[in-house]
Amino acid sequence: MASIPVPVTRRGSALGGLIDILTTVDHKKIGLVYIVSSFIFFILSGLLALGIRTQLAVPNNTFLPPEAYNMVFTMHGTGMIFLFVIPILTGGFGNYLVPLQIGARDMAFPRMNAFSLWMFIFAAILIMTGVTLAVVGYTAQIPSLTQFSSSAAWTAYVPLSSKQFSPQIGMDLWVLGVIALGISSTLGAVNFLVTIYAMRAPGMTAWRMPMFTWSMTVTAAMILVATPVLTAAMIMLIADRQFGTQFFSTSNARLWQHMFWFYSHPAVYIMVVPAMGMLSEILPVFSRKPIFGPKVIILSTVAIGVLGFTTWAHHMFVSGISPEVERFFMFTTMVIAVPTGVKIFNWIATMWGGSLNFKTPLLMGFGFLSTFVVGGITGVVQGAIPLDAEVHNSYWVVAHFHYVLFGGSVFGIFGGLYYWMPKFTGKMLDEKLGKLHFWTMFVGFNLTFFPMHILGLMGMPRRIAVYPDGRGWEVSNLVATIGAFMIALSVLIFIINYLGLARRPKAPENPFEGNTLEWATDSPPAEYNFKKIPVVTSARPLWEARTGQKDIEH
Amino acid sequence: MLFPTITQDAQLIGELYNFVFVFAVLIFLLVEGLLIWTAYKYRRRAAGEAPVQVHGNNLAELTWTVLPGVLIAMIFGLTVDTMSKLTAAGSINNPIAHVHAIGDREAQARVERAQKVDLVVEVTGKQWFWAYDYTDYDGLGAFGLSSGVGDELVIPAGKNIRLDMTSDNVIHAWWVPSLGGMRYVNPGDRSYIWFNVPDTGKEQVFLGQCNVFCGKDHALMVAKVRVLPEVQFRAWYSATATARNQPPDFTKGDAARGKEIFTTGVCASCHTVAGTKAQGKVAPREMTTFASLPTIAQLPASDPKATINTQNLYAWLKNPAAVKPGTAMPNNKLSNRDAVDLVTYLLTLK
Ligand code: HEC
Ligand code: HEM
Ligand SMILES: [Cu+2]
Ligand SMILES: [Cu+2]
Repeated sequence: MASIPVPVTRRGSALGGLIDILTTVDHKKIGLVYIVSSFIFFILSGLLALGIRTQLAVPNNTFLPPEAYNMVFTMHGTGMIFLFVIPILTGGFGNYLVPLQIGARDMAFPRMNAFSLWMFIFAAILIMTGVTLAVVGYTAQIPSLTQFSSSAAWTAYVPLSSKQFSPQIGMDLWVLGVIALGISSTLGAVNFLVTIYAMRAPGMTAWRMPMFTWSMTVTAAMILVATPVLTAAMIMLIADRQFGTQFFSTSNARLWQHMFWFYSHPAVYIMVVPAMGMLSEILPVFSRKPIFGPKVIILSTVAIGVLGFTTWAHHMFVSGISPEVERFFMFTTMVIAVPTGVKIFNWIATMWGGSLNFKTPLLMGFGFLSTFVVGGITGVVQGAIPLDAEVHNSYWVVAHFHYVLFGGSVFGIFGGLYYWMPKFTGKMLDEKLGKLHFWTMFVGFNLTFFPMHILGLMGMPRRIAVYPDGRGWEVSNLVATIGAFMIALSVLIFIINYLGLARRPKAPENPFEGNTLEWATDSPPAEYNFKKIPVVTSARPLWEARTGQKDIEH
Repeated sequence: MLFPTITQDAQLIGELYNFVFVFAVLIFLLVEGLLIWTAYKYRRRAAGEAPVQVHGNNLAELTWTVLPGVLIAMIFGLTVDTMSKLTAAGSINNPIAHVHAIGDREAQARVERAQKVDLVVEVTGKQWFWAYDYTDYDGLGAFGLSSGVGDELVIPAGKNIRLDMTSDNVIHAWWVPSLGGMRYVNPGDRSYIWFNVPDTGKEQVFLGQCNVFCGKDHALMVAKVRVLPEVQFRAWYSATATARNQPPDFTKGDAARGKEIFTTGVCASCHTVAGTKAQGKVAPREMTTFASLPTIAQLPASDPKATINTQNLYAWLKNPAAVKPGTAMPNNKLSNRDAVDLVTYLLTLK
């Protein structure tokens, strides 16, 4: 095992390696610690998802009692969003790649970067220890342990999350954890914005910036605007719980919904925009073509970033806000589909006429495109207020957001892992296992989540711990459970593939013909990234070097 | 929609859904088709392929910005049109049909003027069941169905119904898909649902479920709506009103029914009786040996209303605050019959 290329420069001993991890301010090591730790949280949250699906496999099941089920789905959602997708994309890929892509030696504030990382780890431990204790409590029948987890759903609506209805300490741990994550995330955003603004290599104009770096710019700006609102809401909630401040007393419970969704709607773009950025890197490279309409791709990302802040109240269409306001939010919700649609057509045009190299990263890219589009379409459907009034909070919505978050972000993340693994470790993941991983995950994913549309349209609400038989929900639920175990199998294949890295030969310098600066240095890069800071003359410096041609300026 | 659309609301929504669904399928087929075609046509056949470097095409990009825009505008227009039809029908998007604070008399008056209704039922979201209070129907009197064990919302067919909804705990949502869109049921607010189920001459039953996560047994918070032809409904109404409002007759107390209500219904979320499903933690004392305790609610023994006996217990259950001002035990609006059954049961807890 000792030879698995884990992301540490060893100083001879395991202890030295540990100290190195704990004290490093290098953006690459920080990025890799983010990636590895959030992947562990992906596995934990995925195990919780298997708990959900096992309980719902058949009607009237008693695998999980309702208290346990409620905790499990709460922590599944919390873990996936706050501890996996957001940190792996921003803290992980963002940290590792942005300085390399812009030809810098590190982030602008390396120590603040380390602070963000450890704040994240601290928060994750706060939240995940609670869940672990509670899971032990439920399995070993120790009731006192079960109170260490929240079970008020990841949305923590008041008054359910108030002291009166969620007295357990786990609720406080959850809120504290999210506050810490908010601080970590906000500082990270400042770091990205300053880095990208101030530390680009000579010649790297805005239009020559790589697509992923652009997407991180927009993401960081969104985080900076959105996250403090969530953090404020969480501080108000804990003040209510501990000191009785009454910010969210019954008469203004909807204030929580506004503040929560003011963050959490943009959060879906925070989770998907970086993945879109990775897709915009992968598709051109594996088609041997430049990205089609780079300015349109960039501007549509910016448009999504701005419009993303105008749609939050679509989560409140049936909670009782005024009809005029509802109409406004319906309009903005539908409008945001336009820049998203434009991107999809630009991506297809990127591949059109290309020479498609079907390695795993590109397969994952196709997985992203073909499933994300379903989430986009169902989003417009439920953006229509009368339709929302029939599908809100039903399994239709569960299907919708997994098509966006799993179909979009998770396929994107795996695409990125396969694409940049040689950069991270100097070794390549196995292609055969990669393809097997992709197809198992793709089939499993659709088996799990497609039937949920049907369940929703048949009236099955989300967040229910059991369902009766005789309502026609049996078949779809069983299929979804089978699919979930297929997804688990696919992730297992990935892990096996990763553990096999140790025995694989050194990868070529630029195995996939990448065109951006991260491929212009060693793999893995030395601490200082570049021996000499490169001078940039186009958007595809390595393509120019490889073909000897001049790239067109857009 | 995969459920029968019964009311006018549900039908209008169903039509909109079918329309939007067609576009959804077309877009889906277009994109997936393009993807499959691209993957097949442009797969790499030789290692040295060097495709033409196309950097964009303004006309093409303009086209696929404008066309989706037009499509979206169309869907938006259609939706607004459906909403105005719903408004005309006095339903979910009726501007005055929205939620307002309890005690906002003006808003309440607007709701009352909005549409003539034949039956108003006050619906309260409890943890974890629905309580129904019938204020009146054609002068037949008022009664409540609030035991928390299998109460159904019974309504007449072909009549305009309005549900006046609120909660005395967390947020819930009323959702019976076949009868139209859902609405949140908020503490401190009143929200409304209007509907009219066409008469088929037969009894009809519709199922729905609470649709905002509301704590432990959210999954069990089922709403069952039984629609009776008017004549049958009238008979049901007067029979129920009579039975519920009968003066208390303790010789007819049914301890088994009382136990069911106490341990699985309205009382269970706050009270505990060892060895039953009632494991609520709100009340200060366990009820396991209640009948052997000295007084009700730890009142001083000098208080004539404190001794545990049939009459005192009945008075306590019907209106706790009248017995002990400021108590945390709410008035559960028990019907006389429920209260009698509960008293009978509680006195067996020795
Ligand atoms: C919202 C929570 C709640 C609900 C629901 C509730 N109770 Fe109570 N109950 C209380 C509290 C709190 C007390 C203690 C009151 C006090 O001591 O002032 C109490 C006290 C009592 C007592 C006196 C117990 C004693 O310790 O002397 C009885 C009897 C009782 N409740 C019966 C019922 C019945 C029957 C129901 C169901 C119809 C019910 N309660 C529903 C909260 C509740
Ligand atoms: C590994 C495969 C996954 C499976 C089988 C799965 C399954 C489910 C199911 C069945 C629910 C509904 C639970 C309920 O409402 O009772 C759910 C909720 C949720 N899932 Fe997943 N999921 C998976 C991956 C993901 C991923 C990758 C994300 C990404 C962000 C995610 C985010 C969420 C969220 C936010 C919720 C809502 C939790 C809540 O209601 O509070 N899931 N998941
Ligand atoms: Cu949203
Ligand atoms: Cu509920």
